[in-house]
Amino acid sequence: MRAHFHHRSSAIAGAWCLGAVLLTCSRNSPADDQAPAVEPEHLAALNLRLPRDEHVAYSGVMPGTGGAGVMGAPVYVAPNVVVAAAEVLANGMVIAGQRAHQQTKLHEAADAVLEPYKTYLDQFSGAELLRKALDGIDYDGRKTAIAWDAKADGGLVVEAVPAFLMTQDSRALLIIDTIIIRPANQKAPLLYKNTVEVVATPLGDSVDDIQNYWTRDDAQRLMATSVMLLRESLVLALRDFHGELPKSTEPQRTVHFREGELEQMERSQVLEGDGQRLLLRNLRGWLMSVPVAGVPTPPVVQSVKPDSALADAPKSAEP
Amino acid sequence: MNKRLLLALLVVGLLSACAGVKQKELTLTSEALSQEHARVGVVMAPLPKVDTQFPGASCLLCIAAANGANSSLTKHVQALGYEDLAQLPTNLVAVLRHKGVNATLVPGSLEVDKLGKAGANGDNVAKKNFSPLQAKYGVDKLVVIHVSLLGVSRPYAAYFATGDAQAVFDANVSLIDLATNKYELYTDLNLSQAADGKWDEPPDFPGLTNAYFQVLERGKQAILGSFGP
Repeated sequence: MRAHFHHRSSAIAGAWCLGAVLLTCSRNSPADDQAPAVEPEHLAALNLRLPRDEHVAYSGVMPGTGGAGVMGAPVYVAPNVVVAAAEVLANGMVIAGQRAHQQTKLHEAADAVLEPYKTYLDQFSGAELLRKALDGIDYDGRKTAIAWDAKADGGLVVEAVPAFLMTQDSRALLIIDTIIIRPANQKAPLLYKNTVEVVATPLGDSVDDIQNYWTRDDAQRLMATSVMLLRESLVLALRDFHGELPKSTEPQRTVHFREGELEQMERSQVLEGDGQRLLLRNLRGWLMSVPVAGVPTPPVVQSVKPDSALADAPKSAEP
Repeated sequence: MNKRLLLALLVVGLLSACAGVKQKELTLTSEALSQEHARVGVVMAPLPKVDTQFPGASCLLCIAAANGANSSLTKHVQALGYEDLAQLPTNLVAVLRHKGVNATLVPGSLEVDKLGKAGANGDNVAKKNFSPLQAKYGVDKLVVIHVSLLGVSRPYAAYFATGDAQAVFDANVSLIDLATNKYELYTDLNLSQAADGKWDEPPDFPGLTNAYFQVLERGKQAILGSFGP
């Protein structure tokens, strides 16, 4: 039996999938090297489990540096050991509270970038995103979206917990998707678990009204880009699960890539690359699909038809 | 009581005087490297040990508690390498030559602390006497790269960690005119990088390790960028 996964709409992902011949039936799970082997009957169907909660998590990318913490050494003055211990404990509780407050403030500040899009994002449905993502995946077997509490009729069950983020310059979306693959028999052990991060290629300089770009046509571009990121994360996880990704023997290195207008770095192994994008495996074993730093952004597609939003997502935001 | 207070003030005054005046930041002027025949040497001070530090854990018991609580982190951090940091002077020579500067690599490293005291004081005059290096290295000006701190830092307040561990890179870059012993560039770098997500992931600390190599890369880029884009 042969399975085949790729985007219908992504030339990059498609190219990466070319030549990927399955199937080894061996497991590639960074989370559990002792995971059970894949049985042929697992490949007869791909069941994507829909979320119980319709809400889709969007947040702003937090700045990656700083966070100096609460500084300063307190002086403990106490008449005896018991009072001193109480002072130390009380100080510990105060510090923990201060740190939690500091983190909340940072998250709130980062999420402010989503304010212009909140009305639209609140209407996005997790089930709809997953269904559309599944529609774009080519699979040789049966392909079904199943309810969160439904029993799968054989094959593999894929569960995704996506978190979407927008860069602080609003020029790119990215997804951090925790993906689990298990056999239809829910009592059987997990076959695969990993996190996949996909960073969309940022909008080019020709987009000067970014808010209008994302919100036009009832925010179809936001929806289309989210679906595309979700689909790419699923395809990469499935390829990883089936052992289709190259086993890099290269040493880890600090790879530069783009996240919006910023250049970011990740210590990782490069698994694939085509000059525009790189597929990395980072130190945590996560897969990361990222745009190469310093590559000119492609021209912007000026209009998006709602009907074709999934098949022809805007190239400027293509992962 | 008044005598004690006076004594305390005297001690504080003496200690303050001993602290000295810190060299102010100096950006590179267009003239500093434009002299056609000036030979510019590039040298780096010995690299510090890659290690952990716990600022704020100041009493002996606090230090012991911080060291104990972070022993696996320290062991991991100490095993992290410099990557190609030792190549930084060579890379800087290439950058300077690309800008038309007659730059040359000074072999070995320079222990600035072992240099003698400068004979003169004044604005932008180095406290150490770099002038003998003009004859020793056969250069007119000297770029000194001094990486003073490299590793991971976790802030403490006595016994308690008050923040997450972060990768740190502290360095100083200076350009000294060896004829005058004056700085023509003086830049301090204090870089830190938090882990993306959780940092406390023993034994391999992947998030913090990633942050370490990120801050190392940022540090190298910043030093090379000290001499203009």
